[in-house]
Amino acid sequence: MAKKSDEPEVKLTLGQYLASIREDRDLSQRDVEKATGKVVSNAYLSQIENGLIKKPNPNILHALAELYAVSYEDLMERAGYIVPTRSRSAGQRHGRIATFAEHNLTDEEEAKLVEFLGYLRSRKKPGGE
Amino acid sequence: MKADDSSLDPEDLRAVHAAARRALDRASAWGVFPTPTPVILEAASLKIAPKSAFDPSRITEYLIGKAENAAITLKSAIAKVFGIYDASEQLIHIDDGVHKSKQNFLKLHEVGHHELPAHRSAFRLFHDCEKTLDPEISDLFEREANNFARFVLFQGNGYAAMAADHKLELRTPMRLAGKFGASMPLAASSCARITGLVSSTSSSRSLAASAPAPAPRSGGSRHHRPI
Repeated sequence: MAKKSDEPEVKLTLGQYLASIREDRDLSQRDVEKATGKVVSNAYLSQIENGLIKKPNPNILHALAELYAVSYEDLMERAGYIVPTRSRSAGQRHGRIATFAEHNLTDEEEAKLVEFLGYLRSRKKPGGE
Repeated sequence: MKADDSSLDPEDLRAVHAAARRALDRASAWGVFPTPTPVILEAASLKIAPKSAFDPSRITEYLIGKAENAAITLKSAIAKVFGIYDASEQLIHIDDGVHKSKQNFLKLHEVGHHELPAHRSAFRLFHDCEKTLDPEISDLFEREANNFARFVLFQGNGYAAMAADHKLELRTPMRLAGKFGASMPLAASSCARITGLVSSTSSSRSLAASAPAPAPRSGGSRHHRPI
């Protein structure tokens, strides 16, 4: 049924979204378990879809994104695992770059390091060096 | 006891160990001592940056024409970091100032970010946007990479099996550290794991959390890493 244009869009929870995609792909929860090599078990998927597990490990989301051919980034956002940089408090771990760090980077330090790595990449490209 | 930031839920630990086994399989590294980190890197199609982000000439070159503030910020960032995994380039930047005995763990930690697809895909997302991993997930990824590195360096239970054949004495971790290409502190902490003093699973976290945190060397909260 077509949705009325003035009807507010209801954002599905992560579990509801995953259940709707799985059904769209015509897969049972057991099919998913088999197709992911048991990375995502039937029981675990059921708990995610029913909202009993709201924060599954990202490796589970990655396996589901691959199987369903949907965006991993979108699933991570729906799980609340990707957030705006401004939401990070002082003292919390930085998360834009994979580092082995003794201390947390500030937002400014991390942004500068991201920019510096971009510069190093650009120097490697044809015309760079 | 220092805070240990390597604990994982058993399910998560199993997934990390599976990825570590694949890396050892691909490099045919089981039973090769010390654990051949360069071969593991090559088998993972990863390279160490010959002129890394830690190279002073690179930093100077980048800072030409930039404000003094930019130089202070970048140098401050570099001072806090020992290794960087660039997911887009399949490249690892290592601070050569880190003692050689600790570099194997450091490199394998970055290999972990590459070999765990959820990490590799995530770290490709943030080059050109104002988004970041939630700090809780960023912490989780670090603990997963630490566990990956420990498993690969000590070849799963290889270290435990060898340690079991030695006397329970202080010199045992020293002897085995060299055998596996690990640092003394890491070998000692792994010995503690084997003897049950600490654990890789989440049950150890409450104990670790109750320990006083070491004072930071500079600003920001400090991460303890037994490398």
